[in-house]
Amino acid sequence: MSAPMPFLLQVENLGKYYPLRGGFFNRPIGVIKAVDGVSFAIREGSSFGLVGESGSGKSTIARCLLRLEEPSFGRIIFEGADLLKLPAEELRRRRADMQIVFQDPFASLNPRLTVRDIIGEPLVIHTPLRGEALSARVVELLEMVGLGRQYLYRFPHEFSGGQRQRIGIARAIALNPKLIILDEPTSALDVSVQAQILNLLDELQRRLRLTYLFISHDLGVIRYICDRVALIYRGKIVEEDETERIFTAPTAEYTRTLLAAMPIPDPDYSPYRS
Amino acid sequence: MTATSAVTSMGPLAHWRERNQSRFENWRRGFYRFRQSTLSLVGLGITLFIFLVAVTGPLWVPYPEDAAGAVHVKERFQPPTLAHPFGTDELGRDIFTLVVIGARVSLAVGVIVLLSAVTIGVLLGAIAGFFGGLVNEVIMRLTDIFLTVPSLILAIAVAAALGPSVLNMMLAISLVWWPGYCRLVQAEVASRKQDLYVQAARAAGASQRRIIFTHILPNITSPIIVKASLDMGFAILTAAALGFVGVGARPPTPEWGLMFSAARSYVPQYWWYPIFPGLALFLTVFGFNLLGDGLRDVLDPRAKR
Ligand SMILES: Nc1ncnc2c1ncn2[C@@H]1O[C@H](COP(=O)(O)OP(=O)(O)OP(=O)(O)O)[C@@H](O)[C@H]1O
Ligand SMILES: [Mg+2]
Repeated sequence: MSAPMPFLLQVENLGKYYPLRGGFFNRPIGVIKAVDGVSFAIREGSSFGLVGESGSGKSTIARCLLRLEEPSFGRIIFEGADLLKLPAEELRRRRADMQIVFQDPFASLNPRLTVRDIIGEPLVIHTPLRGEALSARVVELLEMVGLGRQYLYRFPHEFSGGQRQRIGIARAIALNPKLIILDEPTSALDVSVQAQILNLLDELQRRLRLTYLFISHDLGVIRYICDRVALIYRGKIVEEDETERIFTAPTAEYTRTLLAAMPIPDPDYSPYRS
Repeated sequence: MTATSAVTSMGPLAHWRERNQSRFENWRRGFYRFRQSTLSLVGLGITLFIFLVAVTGPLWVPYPEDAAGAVHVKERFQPPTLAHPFGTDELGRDIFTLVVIGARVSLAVGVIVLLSAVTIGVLLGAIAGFFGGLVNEVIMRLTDIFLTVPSLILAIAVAAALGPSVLNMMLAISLVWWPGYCRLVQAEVASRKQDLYVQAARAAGASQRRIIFTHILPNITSPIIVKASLDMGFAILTAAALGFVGVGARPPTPEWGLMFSAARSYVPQYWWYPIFPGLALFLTVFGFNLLGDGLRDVLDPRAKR
């Protein structure tokens, strides 16, 4: 590869403050700075890791990027357009290009819908596909994530955690998005299942030329997936660099603490090895 | 083999069966859990029986003209016999006929009251829970005002103000019945709104209508159904109470509460007069309560008492 790929997503000085209420009449008595001036940029086709302890603001960033939450300030430039300035209809269309896989596969699938309706929902919203054509596309997606057409009309409760996460991934890739935000997609799963899901994500990324924003508090997972990593602490990025540099020559004190707390990585262990 | 051929290569019946297999399996499992409890089955049996009686009653009651207000003075206060299994009243009408036809009145009132209360409650509750903010405050404070007034007294007051008739009675009871559903639905919607699958739908660009009707409402039907089946008995009881105090159904409508009230002055001598409408009322309320409890165990296992 010669010239570096262009940026797909640029986040500039993003912030999200929540009012902290309490006392009499639930008055605002302060603010929680969940995200406090975060900037980073992700190149097309790369995997960008966001690491931080619980409560550091990772999911809040994800929700702001998806506009599930209005950021308090900052800019989000996606495919060259400022998401926070787009009119509603244009934003709805752009949403097709940015999808998310949630951490908890037990809560992220509507228990009343069949797999066809769950995976088919983004297609129904954004495309004219219906009926048989929709089923066919859903079957195609199921096969891409290692499930078969026999699951088409099953309900979420009939699946294991790993299978549910595959369904969540199928839903995320249904519209051929450019960017997928993975909010701790494996942390609710058994270790052996984690490896399978990571393999699947890796395979899909190459096949569909996806860009990943991979959120985790597990540095081991990040190391295998990501090209670049940002470490976030209390809503602020404390260090950002290429993955190998972070692991071999961390500069921030916080990074060193995190690395020290990590279990010794087994050099022979790779989730990509079958 | 391509996906398309796999989907279309089946006959329509096989396709339909495949599509619904899991749904049937869910129902089968739910029915199994319901069957585990004898009391729920008894409740189901009683309510089915009462519905059957109410629907088919006019076809087989022995004296259909009595329910329409016929008077047979010579037959007054006959004790239960084969000709009049529940005896006759002060106008010589067959109490068995009146009780059977009375089931139609009571069930109709119960069903209509609950339908309107659930409709209003779900609508207002969903709006309050989904949009929050000022709308929520206004709707919920209104609901609270209704809930602080004892419902029976409010219903009596409203019915008295409107004048006694079955229609006004239904209006009055519906008016005091919706706030319970409004509060239930508001709380459920507000908490479902935070659920991850709703966030997922929003991230996929789903419209508000789609989020409410596809993702939120289907996931809160269970508590609504459970509450409605438990409430059905109480709504019927309230209707009878209004009839009893004279602000509900009017004679000659064969309404249980009204009959019970008319019978007051003739006990204990003519004991059969109040006993049978009273028993019918008791059986109905009892049946719906058992059914509601059973449904709760099936649909809403977490809320078990
Ligand atoms: N709606 C909200 N109202 C108030 N505070 C919030 C809200 N959402 C998140 N927060 C706060 O913002 C901070 C960041 O939360 P966030 O969920 O982004 O953390 P996280 O890094 O994803 O943590 P985890 O690893 O546990 O998922 C937390 O302190 C949290 O309490
Ligand atoms: Mg999180």
